[in-house]
Amino acid sequence: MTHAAGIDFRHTHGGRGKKYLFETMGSGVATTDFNGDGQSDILFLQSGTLPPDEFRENLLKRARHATGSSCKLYLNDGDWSFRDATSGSGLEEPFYGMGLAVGDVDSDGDRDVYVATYGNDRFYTNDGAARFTDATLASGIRDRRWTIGGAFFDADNDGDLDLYSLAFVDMPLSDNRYCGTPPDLRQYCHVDGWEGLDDRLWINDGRGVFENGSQAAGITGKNRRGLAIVGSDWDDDGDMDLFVANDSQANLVWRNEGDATFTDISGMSGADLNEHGKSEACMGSDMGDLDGDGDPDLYVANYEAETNTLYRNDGSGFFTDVSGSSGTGRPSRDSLGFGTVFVDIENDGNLDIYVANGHVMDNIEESGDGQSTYAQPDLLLMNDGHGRFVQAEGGVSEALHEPRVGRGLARADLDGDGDHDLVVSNSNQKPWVLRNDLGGGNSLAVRLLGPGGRADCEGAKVVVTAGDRTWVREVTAGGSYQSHSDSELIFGLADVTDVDSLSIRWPGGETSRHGPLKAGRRYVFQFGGELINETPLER
Amino acid sequence: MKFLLSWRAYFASLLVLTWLVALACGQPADSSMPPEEAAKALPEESVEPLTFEAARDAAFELEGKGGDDEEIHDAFSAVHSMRPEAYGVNVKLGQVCVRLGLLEESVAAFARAWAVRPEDMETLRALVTQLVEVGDLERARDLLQELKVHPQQVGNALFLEARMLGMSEREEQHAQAVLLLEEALALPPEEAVETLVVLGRWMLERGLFEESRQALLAALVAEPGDTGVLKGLATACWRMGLDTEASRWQEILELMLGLRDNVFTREQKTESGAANQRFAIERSEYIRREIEAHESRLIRLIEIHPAWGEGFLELAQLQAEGAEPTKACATIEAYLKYHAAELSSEAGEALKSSYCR
Repeated sequence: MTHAAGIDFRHTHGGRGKKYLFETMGSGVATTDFNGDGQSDILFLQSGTLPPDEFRENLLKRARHATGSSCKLYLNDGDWSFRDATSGSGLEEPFYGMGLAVGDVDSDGDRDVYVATYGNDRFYTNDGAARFTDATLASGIRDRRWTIGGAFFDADNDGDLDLYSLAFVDMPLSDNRYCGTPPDLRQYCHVDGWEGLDDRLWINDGRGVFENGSQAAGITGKNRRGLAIVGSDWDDDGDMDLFVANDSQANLVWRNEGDATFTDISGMSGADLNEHGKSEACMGSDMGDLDGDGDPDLYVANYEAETNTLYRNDGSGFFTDVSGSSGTGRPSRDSLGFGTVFVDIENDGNLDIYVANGHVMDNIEESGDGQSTYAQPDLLLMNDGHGRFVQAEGGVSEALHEPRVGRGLARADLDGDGDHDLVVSNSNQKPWVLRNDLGGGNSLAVRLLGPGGRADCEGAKVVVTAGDRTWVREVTAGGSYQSHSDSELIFGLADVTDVDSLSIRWPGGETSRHGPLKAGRRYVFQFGGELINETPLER
Repeated sequence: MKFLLSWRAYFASLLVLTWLVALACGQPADSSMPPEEAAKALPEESVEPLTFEAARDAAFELEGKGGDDEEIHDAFSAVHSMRPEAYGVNVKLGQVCVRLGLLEESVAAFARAWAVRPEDMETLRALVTQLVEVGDLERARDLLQELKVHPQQVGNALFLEARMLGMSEREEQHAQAVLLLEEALALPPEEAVETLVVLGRWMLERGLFEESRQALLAALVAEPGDTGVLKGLATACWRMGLDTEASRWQEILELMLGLRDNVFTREQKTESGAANQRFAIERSEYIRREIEAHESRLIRLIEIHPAWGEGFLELAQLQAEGAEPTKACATIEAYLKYHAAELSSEAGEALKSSYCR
């Protein structure tokens, strides 16, 4: 449905045969409401351009990189129609974009954007009408290193959004090595050749001005290669903990102590390594209650020949690798996964898993084992409601049978009909904008406004009960790969038409209770619990 | 030529076998027609023996040369169609089907082979393994009993039984798992290690942490360097609140990871050639960068996990290559002290003489 939606974005990595590692990364996508009209828009990051003011002239000459276009902002006009609103948006500046994080950092009711790049990171403030101002300097976010993405969340429980930014490797433009078989088959080098970098925690003063609080937070000294982050209160103590997926190194699991300090519980949590005691080339991840027991489980997309890994939450923040017994492992073994989101495709009340696939080596057909391909179909794993999965047939979507080079991935209800649609940013290709026509079950959409006028309420947890069924969903932070998904919670209800109760645990610990409520409607709650809007879903 | 049956007799026996196989495979057999009667309906003519032998030899040759699995499959399938009961052909066909993921076909092939040689426990084991793979647990359970009575197959049978545990969810399986664990613990560790690992993981997933720990501790005796076992042990201990023990397993695990981690192993990086095309670090540079860290990891590992004999040997070699013969000799002496029982006295002496000159 990409063309019909009016989306003409095409990603470019800008490479011309020199095989710079950053060309393999693709870039992210954000799906959320940028202009305050209540509909989710789409922001595609672009790569390609190495800005001349950031790199030495001789290095740029040697790199022979093409100049790419800027990122593209599409505003949602409804009826599955999108308008290119990049011009005049303030986002036209070209850079080598990697990933993004979206959050209302100045609590003025609109969503601002952090952009991680190969080069100087950017921070843009939104005026509420999807016109952005480059506020990098004023924000205090200064990072010239190779960063991948990040997540906005309230690290210190002071009511504003802080930023965890993911750093990758220390590979200056001058350090492009030759890998492969000269002279004909040059390949992208394995990332292991470069040192990993520390992630950073940027603490917000409440006005959108940040200080590097990494040292005080206790997150330094790891030097890993971060590729994905997801924040969730998986130990249910009222603050957001963090999972960081690393490339070919043990993952990091940070327990939030509630005061902007973090404890490394990677080993103890069980999610540092897979069940074979091996680290994996982890690319994308998401968290949510996959087995219906009320706590968030974790899924990580990995390299080809590694299975993707499903870590089941045992209820107290301990995770067990159940990739084999859940059926999620085998279908993922022959593909290389990046963007990963949980989405209830059929609105049957069970979260399914969607993974954007694509190899990193553009000549893998020549250099691999004869089985691997650069472009790969995406993967959709359907949940039986007990945490067991089967692979969806290719006929369900063109993206599941037509191979592309998937990277960024985000979900949102783009057509307002009460199910999640998907957007996949494909490397050096057109994206997928996938309208979900399978969400046949009833549903209920919940949007939560944050404290102090904040546009979203990261960290809130919602419990919906109907008869003997209960669903728990959380406004998580980050997730997927390089991307940001809209924070609206959609509860698939199958054939349930009336919900007995809906309770919201707000950041800070207060709980509000509501109900009974009708399915088929969209509810907006003010921070604290006041219902401020209720509209029917557009079905 | 006395071993060659007449063609009529051959087809008669073939039908008997087909009938047996159909029974073994649970496929619908024509029960209205006993095999000896069915044999009467055989064709008079079939493939010439020489044609069969030539095709068979060619298939074996292709397999021996390490040919393409698809081609090997086609070759053995063709031979099989000439003489469906040929034992060796069926075994090879079953094996190549396993490699190609043609599980149902592998079941049929192993069943035909086993029907010809019911004393062949390896083929029976392969058959049961594939029945488990395709999820035909009922037939697998029946045949497992037969496998289990052969002393050399007890470990394999236990392993298959343990694998079957994870394939269906029933409450009574917890009790069955505990019984299996008792049986596995009674076997020599090296015979039961796979079973213990499967049971350990199964129990870990189901919250039987102490039982999981017991299984994995026993597995570690046979496989002290297995990172999956170490990971399971750390996990079980964290869950049980045995933090000191958990920290120890976690430290060993992380030290091991520093030595050899990921699908792109450290070993690959130290080799030249095709395997390390994607690694920009040459062997010399890698060793220069890593050698100190590598050595200190090994020293700590053998200190806290001396059961891992490989660590002593790797350290001694590193020290010898680094022109530190005295240290290398001391490491070998420490190894011999700890692992003497695992070596013949000759092997021990040889090791000592090569490091302590």
